[in-house]
Amino acid sequence: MFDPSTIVVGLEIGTSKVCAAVGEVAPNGAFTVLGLGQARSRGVRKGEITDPQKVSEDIRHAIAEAEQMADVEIRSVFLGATGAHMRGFNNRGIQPVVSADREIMMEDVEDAVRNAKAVNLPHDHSVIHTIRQDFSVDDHDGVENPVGMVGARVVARVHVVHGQGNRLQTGIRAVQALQLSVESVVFNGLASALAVLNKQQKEMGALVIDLGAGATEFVVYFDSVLRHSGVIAVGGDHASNDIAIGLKIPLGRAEQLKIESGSAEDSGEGEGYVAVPAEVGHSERTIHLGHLRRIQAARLEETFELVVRDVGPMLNLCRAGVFLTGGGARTRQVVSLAQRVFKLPVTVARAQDVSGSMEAIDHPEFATPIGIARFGAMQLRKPSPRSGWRSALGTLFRR
Amino acid sequence: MNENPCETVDIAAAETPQHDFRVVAVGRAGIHALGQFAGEGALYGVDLIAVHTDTAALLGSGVRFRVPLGASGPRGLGAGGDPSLGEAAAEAALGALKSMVAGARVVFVLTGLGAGTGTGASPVVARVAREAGALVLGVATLPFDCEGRLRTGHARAGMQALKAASDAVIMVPNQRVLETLDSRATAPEVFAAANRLMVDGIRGLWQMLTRPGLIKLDFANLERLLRGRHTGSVFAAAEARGNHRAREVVERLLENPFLERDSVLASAEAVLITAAAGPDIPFAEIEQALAAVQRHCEQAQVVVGTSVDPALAGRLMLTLVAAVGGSAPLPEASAPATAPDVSVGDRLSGSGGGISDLGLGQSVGRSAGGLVPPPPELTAGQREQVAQRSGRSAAKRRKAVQSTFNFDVVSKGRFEKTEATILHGEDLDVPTFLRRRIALN
Repeated sequence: MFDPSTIVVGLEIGTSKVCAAVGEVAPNGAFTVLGLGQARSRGVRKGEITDPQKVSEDIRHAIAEAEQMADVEIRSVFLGATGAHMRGFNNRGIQPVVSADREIMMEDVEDAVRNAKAVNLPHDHSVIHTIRQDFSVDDHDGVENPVGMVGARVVARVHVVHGQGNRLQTGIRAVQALQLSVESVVFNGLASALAVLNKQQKEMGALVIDLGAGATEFVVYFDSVLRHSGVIAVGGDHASNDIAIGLKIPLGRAEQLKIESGSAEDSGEGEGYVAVPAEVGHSERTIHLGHLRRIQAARLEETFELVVRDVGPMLNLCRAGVFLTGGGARTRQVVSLAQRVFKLPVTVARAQDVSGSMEAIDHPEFATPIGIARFGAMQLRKPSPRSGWRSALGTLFRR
Repeated sequence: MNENPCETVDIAAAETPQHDFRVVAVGRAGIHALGQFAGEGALYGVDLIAVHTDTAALLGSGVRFRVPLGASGPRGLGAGGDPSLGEAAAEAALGALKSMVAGARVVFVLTGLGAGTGTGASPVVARVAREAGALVLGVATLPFDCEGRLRTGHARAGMQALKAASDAVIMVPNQRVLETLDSRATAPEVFAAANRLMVDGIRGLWQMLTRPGLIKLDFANLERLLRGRHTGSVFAAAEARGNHRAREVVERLLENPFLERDSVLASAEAVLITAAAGPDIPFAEIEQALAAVQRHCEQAQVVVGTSVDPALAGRLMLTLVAAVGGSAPLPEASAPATAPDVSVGDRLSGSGGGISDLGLGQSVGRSAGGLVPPPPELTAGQREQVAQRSGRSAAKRRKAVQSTFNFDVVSKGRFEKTEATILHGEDLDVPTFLRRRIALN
């Protein structure tokens, strides 16, 4: 039905759900979400896989649902990754221009980027993304593409995202166990930002926070370039757990209460009591809503404060404000809490510049899988910068 | 001044320092950093002074001027990680400290916060130096996250006290130094890097103040920039030689972890930059380097100086001091101003005028606290009592800490068996409301 090369699938193995997004890329680059499939996740804690077999089953369900909804056959996916082991930092690579006429060639630029990639990582980590920020030619900063310019030296600035190789492999294996291939691994925070930010927002500067169940990822864009990324292994699960401990109720109840009556601010409307019906081992109880909200608000506020601390003075450069995605963005009054902590305009973000079923696009918790698919679409559109004719031939022969 | 047993201890040098510019290292970490200083050939016109409760470490430091603390309390065996002991010991040695800082114009207090002597004694040293009329710049390392909550807490309290007692404090969070290093750096490399950052900064400032300048930046400029601003200050220095020195010196400067990849400069309120160059360096290069740094200071008032030094032949060196408003790395405690001492009060009100003369404006979000009343004059006997009393109260506090430690064993619920999420010394898997002690009733 479709040319298979135009179908991209983003798969997120999250802590609360496994979700696959099927996207279609039109020849003009327009991106359409054809379908979504999701399954409850049972083998993930804090964004990292703890039971690969259960995860494989959940992936199978999610993929099957997505295939059915989009009416395509899925053979390969782009896989999202997160977890406390992932780190992002900025680095520079310097390359002297050796040609006689000092004109900067493509090779010089690639060498500069390669030098920037050659970082001393912990021995078990591998690089997931090397994202070009900008270049300097001699003293001229802020060069977007130095090819063709004349200078003595090219400096490439890149943002490197890396993670522990074995943990990333665990996710890839879980997918491969289903006879699906993994095209590439994508950092979830980056994917969320790709889904929810448009060009102007990236240029003005924006902080995107993905409030997941197991982990909170955040990235900063300004001047159209990724400047900062990070993960805190704290999420909605922690809030539920806090509530369960604080109110002495079962975890499942706590989760349900959090969704039904929770709030990110402990003051405000709806004070009162709710009844928790009796369960095996628990008698019926009434719970003060104020307590529930105070516990939840403390956790969310702390999470935001940790983000502020990690992002640092770069926060001042986020003029477009803060964009919240992920399931946590649906918490009541989360915007007012975030405004108080960040002192910036705050928006609950949804996927932008995407067409498809509104049902899918409209929910903040689907931003990550859509973003992963979008990342895949970008990879398809522009051939990877490394591929000279030689590697292009290589891929040809491999097929 | 008062007769004091400390002054008669034989390892205290008989002579007193004479120079305008003094570096006082307090505690083990400070003395280690000072050792690096001394190892690189002493700076002309700088007196190095070591202050410690551990007599053996003091003797081993090889520093000319030494002040042993706590001959009566800890008996020369260190403060055992208890800041109140360090503080009491320093208060008991006020006379010796005063003679060490008398007549100085700039005093650097070099220390490591978190343990006993540095945390407790360095605010006292800073106060004494300030009362003697010197501009006091504190340079302190903060402990690694893994050193635990007790030390972090001590460091936080010590930082507040040091900030209150000095004109400016520059923090070197060890954790950040570690993050900027290669993950394979060994322990000595990490500590050496932190020391190097402190020493390079001090050296640069010394050069800024002592070399003959073409566009002269002197003590008055530095004083106007820093005095009375109890905000985070940052300094950094870098040096380069060769064909691309103008560019490289700027790059090296911006690589300094204190500048956090230039985002500190972008939000700084006031920046003082000096370029020191060999006599053979073209002025155009100096100008180029200064302009490149200025480009990174978006909002700051920038004051620029240059000087020529024959010793720097073929080299270009930049030193930078930035005053950052309101974005201290740790939250500021609200220290209420009690019984303001007149001279300090004058300084504070004077700083508004001085700074606005320069057009630097008032610092935003600066804490109003910062005035410490001078301690009451005590006789030797009373001092002994004070030292003993604080020793007792410290013992009491230690007990209290232990009981809270037992209390802190709480359930982590579903995260009991997962890999702990430890950030900034806190276990994030423990419910926030328990860690912050938020009452539910």
